[in-house]
Amino acid sequence: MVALENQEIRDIRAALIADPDVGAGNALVKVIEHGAALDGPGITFDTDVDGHLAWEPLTLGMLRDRVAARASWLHSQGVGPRDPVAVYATSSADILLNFMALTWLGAIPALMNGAIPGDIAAGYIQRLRGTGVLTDAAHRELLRGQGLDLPVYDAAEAGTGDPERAPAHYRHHPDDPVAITHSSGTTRVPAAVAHSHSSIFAAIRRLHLESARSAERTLCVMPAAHAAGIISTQLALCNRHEHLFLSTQGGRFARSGAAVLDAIERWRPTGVYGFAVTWSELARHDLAQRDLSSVRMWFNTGDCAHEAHVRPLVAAGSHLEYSREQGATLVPGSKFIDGIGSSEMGHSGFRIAHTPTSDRYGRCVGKPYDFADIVLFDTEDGTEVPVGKVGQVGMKSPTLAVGYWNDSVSTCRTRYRGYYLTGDLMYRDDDGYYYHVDRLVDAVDLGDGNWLYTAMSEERILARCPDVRDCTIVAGTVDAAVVTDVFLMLTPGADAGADHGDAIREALGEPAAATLRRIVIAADDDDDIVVGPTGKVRKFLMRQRHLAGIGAP
Amino acid sequence: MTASTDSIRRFIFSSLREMNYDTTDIDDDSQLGPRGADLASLALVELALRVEEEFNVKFSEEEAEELAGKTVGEFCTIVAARQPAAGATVE
Repeated sequence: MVALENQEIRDIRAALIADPDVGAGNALVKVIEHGAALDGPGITFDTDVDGHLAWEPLTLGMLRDRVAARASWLHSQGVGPRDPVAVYATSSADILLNFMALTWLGAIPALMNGAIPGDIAAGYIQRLRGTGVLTDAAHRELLRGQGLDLPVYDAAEAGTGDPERAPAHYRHHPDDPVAITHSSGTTRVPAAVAHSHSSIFAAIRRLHLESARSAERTLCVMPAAHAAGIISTQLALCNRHEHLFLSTQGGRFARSGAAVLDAIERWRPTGVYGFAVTWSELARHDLAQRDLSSVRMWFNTGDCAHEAHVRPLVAAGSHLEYSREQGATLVPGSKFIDGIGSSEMGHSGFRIAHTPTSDRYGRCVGKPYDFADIVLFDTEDGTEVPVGKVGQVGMKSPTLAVGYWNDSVSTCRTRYRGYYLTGDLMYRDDDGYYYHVDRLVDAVDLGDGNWLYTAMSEERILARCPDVRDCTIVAGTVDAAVVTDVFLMLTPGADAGADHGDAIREALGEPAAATLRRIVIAADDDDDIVVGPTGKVRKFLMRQRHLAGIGAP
Repeated sequence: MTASTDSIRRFIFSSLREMNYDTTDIDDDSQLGPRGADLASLALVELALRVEEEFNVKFSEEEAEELAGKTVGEFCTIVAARQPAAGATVE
């Protein structure tokens, strides 16, 4: 690969901004059309791709060929415009290359996290009313016997197509659906979220192509089959970054810390993209023992990250300092960009930067992006809440997903006065900063105007208990009374017999502390903690299991 | 002692030249980011740090990140306004 000239990057970015036809369905070919060199960066994967070795960068030209090969093969199988095709596989290469190949044809890829169990996956695919399923061998086995009556395409075979025989690229309208992703299933069965050609590209157009140019080398450790996976890849392609998309984070995603650290030391990224669960996983490790000096930025999206997980990260990595004597030098300490978002939001809606010297935590999610219109609605009367009062987040944004696929009831119920209701509870302060207290479905009404906010309480527990690596609060009603169970996951080497009762009651505050039923020390692989395919804790299932199922302690 | 907008502008231009940027086509109306001078993100950070040290001012994280959308003239005005109030000026 050749180093890119600044002028080339500038010209490509300007051309992409000026081209109204660019979107998520055609970003790859548009980057090439607007002059990007074919020997410049494409994407790098940590798995082999059609005989191309893992970790060896695919140039832009190679990437186009690998995508065109798949488009050619899928076309030969009869896949065409408007066909919803599920993609159920493990490797990022299988997911992202087939995403681009399907959009090449004008089809609608429905990307599925490979960690979804087979039975749930089959039900999800059936609800999509898809025209086919593209899988790897392992996932084909998972779907066997699940009663799916659809063509099953083999991911490996798709790569054998002839790139020269790919049909002309489909011409997308801004409103055309180009992807179906799913929510993480933190609180429910994954919901299918439809994104348009323009919506899932809107933040790249308005934000990432307008920000200062950078010669980034990025690493994405998020699962590829999510909106954030699509966005981070297209962001890298459009800005001509060198981008590694990890897919083998050491098996179960929620145990991926060591694999992520190994990848950082090997790839030497300047920026790392991840979900909150990754930062929690990295908290198992002594980061001072690893060489993370290349990292200047950590990018978080999905859930808001906890202070206890952010501080060790910003203490690692490097940033620029300047003095007359020494000029510009890189010194220890990095920046953590926290951007709460979701599939439905189509991008982060808020943004805050943490550094070694910053001190605005307490689940502060910063301020909304300029493109997002945010209103906090009172959960009871629907009016806009004043400063300091908790309300439900309503969002208008060009990034918003167009709705739930085949589920107009959910699409309708999550709209209010023209705003999409994100399901988050926040308040804002006098300076315009927003604070996330909980998901609406997880918060518990204690009566007399008092609420138990589980996410905010978890933040406080982590801040008070340095020996707790992560924690989950499960609260609900048992026999007409609210009960609260607190599950603690301890840092390696911590005393499992230590008494955390006082700290937890203090973190909960009155009157929530009075509902505390038990404190459970959960082992790493304990079934007490129910996680979804992205590693996020599934509180809905935990409530079912621990509250309804157990009854009295 | 505070610096005038002119002296701030001169410092910005000399800094950019030291940082190997061609300032020929840059004026007060040029944005610092991709729609104008097209400073790379690290260069923007360095410029902000140089200005902070030279004029004894401080930018918040948010301000530093928004510099790409500011023009040279706007940046000068921000720096001038940020300085401690004093009677004398450099000019």
